[in-house]
Amino acid sequence: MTAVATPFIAADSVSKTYNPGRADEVRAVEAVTMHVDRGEVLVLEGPSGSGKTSLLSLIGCMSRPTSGRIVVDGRDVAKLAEGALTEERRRRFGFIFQQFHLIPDLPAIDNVLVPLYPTEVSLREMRGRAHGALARLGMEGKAARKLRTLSGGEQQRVAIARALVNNPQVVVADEPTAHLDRRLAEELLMILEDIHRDGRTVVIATHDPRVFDHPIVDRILEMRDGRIVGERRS
Amino acid sequence: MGRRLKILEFALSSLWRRRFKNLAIIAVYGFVIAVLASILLMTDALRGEAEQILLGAPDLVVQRVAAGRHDLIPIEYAEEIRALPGVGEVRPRYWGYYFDAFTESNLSFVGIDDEAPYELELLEGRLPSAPYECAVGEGVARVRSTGVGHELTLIAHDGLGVIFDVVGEFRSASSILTNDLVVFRNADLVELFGIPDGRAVDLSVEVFNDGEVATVAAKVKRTFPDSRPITRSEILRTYDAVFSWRSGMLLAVFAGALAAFCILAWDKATGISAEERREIGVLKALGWSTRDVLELKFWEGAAISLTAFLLGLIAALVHVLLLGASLLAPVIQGWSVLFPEFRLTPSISVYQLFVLGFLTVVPYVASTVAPSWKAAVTDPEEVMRG
Amino acid sequence: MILHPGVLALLGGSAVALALLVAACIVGIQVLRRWDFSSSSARQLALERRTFLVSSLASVALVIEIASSLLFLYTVDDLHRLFVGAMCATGSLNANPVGWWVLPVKLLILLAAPVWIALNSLDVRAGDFPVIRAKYGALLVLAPLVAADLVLQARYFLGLDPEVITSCCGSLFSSAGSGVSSDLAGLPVFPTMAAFYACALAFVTAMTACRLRPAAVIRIVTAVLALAFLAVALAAMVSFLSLYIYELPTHHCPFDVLQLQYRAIGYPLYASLVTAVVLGLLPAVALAFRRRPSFAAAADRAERRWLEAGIVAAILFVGLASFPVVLGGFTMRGY
Repeated sequence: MTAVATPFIAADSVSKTYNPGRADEVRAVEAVTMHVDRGEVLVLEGPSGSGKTSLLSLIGCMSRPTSGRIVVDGRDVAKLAEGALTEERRRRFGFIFQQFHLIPDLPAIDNVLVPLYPTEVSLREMRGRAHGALARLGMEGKAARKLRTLSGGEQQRVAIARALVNNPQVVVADEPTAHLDRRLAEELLMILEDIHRDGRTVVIATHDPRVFDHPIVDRILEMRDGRIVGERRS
Repeated sequence: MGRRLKILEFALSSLWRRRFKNLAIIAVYGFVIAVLASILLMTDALRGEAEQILLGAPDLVVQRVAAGRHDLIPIEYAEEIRALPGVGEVRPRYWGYYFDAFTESNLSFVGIDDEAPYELELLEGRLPSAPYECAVGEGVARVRSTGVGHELTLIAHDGLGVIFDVVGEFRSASSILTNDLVVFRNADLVELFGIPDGRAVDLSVEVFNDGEVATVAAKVKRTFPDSRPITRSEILRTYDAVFSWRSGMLLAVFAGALAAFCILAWDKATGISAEERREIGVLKALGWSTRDVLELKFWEGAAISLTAFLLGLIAALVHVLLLGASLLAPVIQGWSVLFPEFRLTPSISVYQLFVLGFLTVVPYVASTVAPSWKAAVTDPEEVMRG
Repeated sequence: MILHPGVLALLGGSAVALALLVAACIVGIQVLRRWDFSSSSARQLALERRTFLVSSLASVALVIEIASSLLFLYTVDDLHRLFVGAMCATGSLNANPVGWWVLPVKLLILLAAPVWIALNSLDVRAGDFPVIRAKYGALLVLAPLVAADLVLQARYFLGLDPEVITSCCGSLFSSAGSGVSSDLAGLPVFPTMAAFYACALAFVTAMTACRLRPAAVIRIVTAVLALAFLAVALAAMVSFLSLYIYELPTHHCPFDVLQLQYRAIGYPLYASLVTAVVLGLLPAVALAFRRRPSFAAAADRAERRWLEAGIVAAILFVGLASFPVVLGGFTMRGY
């Protein structure tokens, strides 16, 4: 994959400190400078506590850095107020969480719809998009089924469909294979490959070798103790 | 607008998902509203009854006072009163109370000459026109197991029994009015009560111009210092004040219940479960802003309030109109006199609903503002970090 | 002491509103003291989260106050039955003259509250809190106003004594008296009518001009005309509009229109008047903060809607008021 001239996301000396000045102060990310190219599959690799999840939420516009700059598609997001930041996140990013975080009492389709509620998209178009996302993942027939009744793999697909429903430019996955067996992990990576083929950028935080050794990965950033200690191409 | 409705839809679905907790809140809230609404409805219904009663009442009633108590009035006073400017007819009235030993209830006796007093509807039969005839109210008929074509035995002032033929039964637009009423010819009533010649219980005075009633009353008082003129508006005002006062007092008492509920609401809202907090975190992670979540919480609160309000109102209507407000009646009515059962006529006004809404919804909303905010500012990152 | 349910609701509601507003002020001051939007420190983020609390508390408090204005009118009208000589709200208010002071305070709140709510919403929409200082400062002015409202209402209601014989609108609003109300009642009908319609036309024209060609001067003119229209309309109400509604050449009372026998036309009349005036004031108030580009952008979008709604409200008011004048069977010619 050829890198584009200007990176899609660029982090410049960003730091993130939780509970600053208190006894339980944690420096999750320290003076990290990195970038994400448009259309690449980037992996943040490191053990738990290395800061990869925190970095992920910074570049995913989910939190503001304690210091440093983050530019997404030419726009400095580090200083945005909460409302504007949420807007950016909603428009550009789709998230897949480690524990899926789906709403168990809702049917699959309603779970997929959640990100679209606070938007100006009409209810009808919302449903259209949600059905489309589920169909893409082979879940069309199960749209109305309550989440509890679906298998682990099916729930995974619902989570991914939810991440895709607002047509994001970047899909962010946090330890997506953590609780999966080999078969489901394979399936997940195939789906991510499919998403990537659309032209979307994919950023994955993981310490699972099945992921960073996978052929779809373009670049790997190694993280230890909140810093980037290495970079290698796949 | 579309966005707002969508968030409303999500709010409703979210309430339904946690229905046990929410139904519990609605039940308690609805109960408090039902109590307050019952108080308001009852007072209003009684006030309406009083107004109804007084529709046909005379403009001015002149009584005589002796030793500070109501005494019989000489009929000759009527001559002088009739001579006052602006005064129309002046009639002697005969009426009184009768304690019926059989049923241990107090009945009201009224004497007439030809026309029906006030606005009474005859249910059956006719008015008494011959000696020893009477007409009774529904309540009396029921309680003494009598009716048109039957008899009514009463004890006269001298202790002897007198038998009357019931020739008519009343039903009135206002049931308080006639429930305990028995109507006789004036002559029979005078005999029954042993009223001396030349006396009446009071005088009813017609005044042509409503605005002049107070002036005429003042003149009567000056002419007859032992008289007590009572205007219709005075009576109405007294009823109104008493009902307002009683309902206000009850409301103040139940303010305690309302306060307790609000504390409950606050507590429930603040102590949102880990599950709920996680869910809000997920919403925020997926692109809901704090403003969106606040709106969600607002709609949830609105839905709960509205549901509780409607349920409480319906419960109150059932309680007051169908069950005769059996739980609250003794306090609000406060008559020490025992009397037969009656049904209140319904009346709900926009004003009442507004007052009820103010009393119940405002405290609830106020107590859920801070907890809602607390929930809405949940950091989405918390979700990421597991 | 009058334990009327409406009185309890009013005093309770105002007390709650005051409590919420004071809480909003306290949190607001905390926020302003350390506010620094350019920083992304954890403290700044916490302050930004607090702004939502202030907004929620203040908005709820102000909505309660707006609703309580309506409730106040209703209640004062309802209370008249308890007083000798009272036939409408005028009688109830005369029974304890402190009550008359509640009206201007409530009117001020009725104008200021929606303006604050609108500005707050624009500030939030702008994204970088351009007018946060002014906004919270305004709360510090509103809070004492609401406190005054509560105190005056309490003094009025608690001081009511049904034994007092009061006088009604017949004497207060008759041209043969002294005082403002009598002066208003004594204004000649046809010239006042002309002034009223001329002012209405000017106001609507200004709002239309502002909508089509927004400019600072036009906004200010619109606001001035809004206030003028408020004054003229209220004077007109006493002077001649009431006469047509009651179909009596001597009945000038502005409160009897609230009663059911006149189809409670007073409520939509006064509501549409206040709505039109508030909407007419908003563009000029927003003008004060247009230096900040983010605010200006948000204000542009909102202003169009305000003016359109304002024009509708003004026309509605004039229409409702004119209905009995134009189409009613009563005429003042010959009086």
